[in-house]
Amino acid sequence: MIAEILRDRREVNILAGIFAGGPGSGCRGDNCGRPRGVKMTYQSPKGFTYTLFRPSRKGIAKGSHAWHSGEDKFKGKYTKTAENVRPFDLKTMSRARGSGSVYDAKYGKIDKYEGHGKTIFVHKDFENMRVVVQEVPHDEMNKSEVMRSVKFKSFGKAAEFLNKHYGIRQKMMGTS
Amino acid sequence: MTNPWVLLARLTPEQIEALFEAVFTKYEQSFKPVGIKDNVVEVELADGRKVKETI
Repeated sequence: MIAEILRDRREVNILAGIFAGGPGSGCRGDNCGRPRGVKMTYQSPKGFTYTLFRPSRKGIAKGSHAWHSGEDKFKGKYTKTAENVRPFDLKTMSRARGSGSVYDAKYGKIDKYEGHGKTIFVHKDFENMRVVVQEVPHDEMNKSEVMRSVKFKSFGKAAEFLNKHYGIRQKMMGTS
Repeated sequence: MTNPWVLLARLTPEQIEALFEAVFTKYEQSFKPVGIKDNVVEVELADGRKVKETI
């Protein structure tokens, strides 16, 4: 069966595409030949965990997943659109000990929202003593291709990150 | 037009991550949320399809 498939040159090409990075390709390591996942997690030496979600690697340049520690291009343009939203945990049927705020920066005229921009979720989790910042960039149709999530164990570092990177000032230990 | 992503404000970070992971794994395309009820989020994919994801 396999021999029959391999006889057909077109199908050989398809198989080569599926198993790209496999034996003979020069790729080394445990992940060679495996399909790339949509979730990739990195541990930063600065004390935070950075996770990237993306639909596929197609069309994405090598290294474009890297976290740019510089200022966000929308820095200073974020406005708070929701605050102190307490998530409801369906497993425990109770409100979570913590709250979330949402900030967004968007292109558009004064009264017209064109969709293109970025939404930031700031989750303060008092139960696990951590802050999770999630960044969702979206296009003019409001659709998102990539989502970045940064987890901090230190509330102070999270506040510093929000201020330096996005220009967002938020009280971390209080309710606002 | 309002920002549809604000719909996800009531979700926990894990639920938001689970939504992205599920949609990207199954459909491999960009999306936006259009509705949410209990733990089911309705999303519109880049090709125009509307699908529901349980998180």
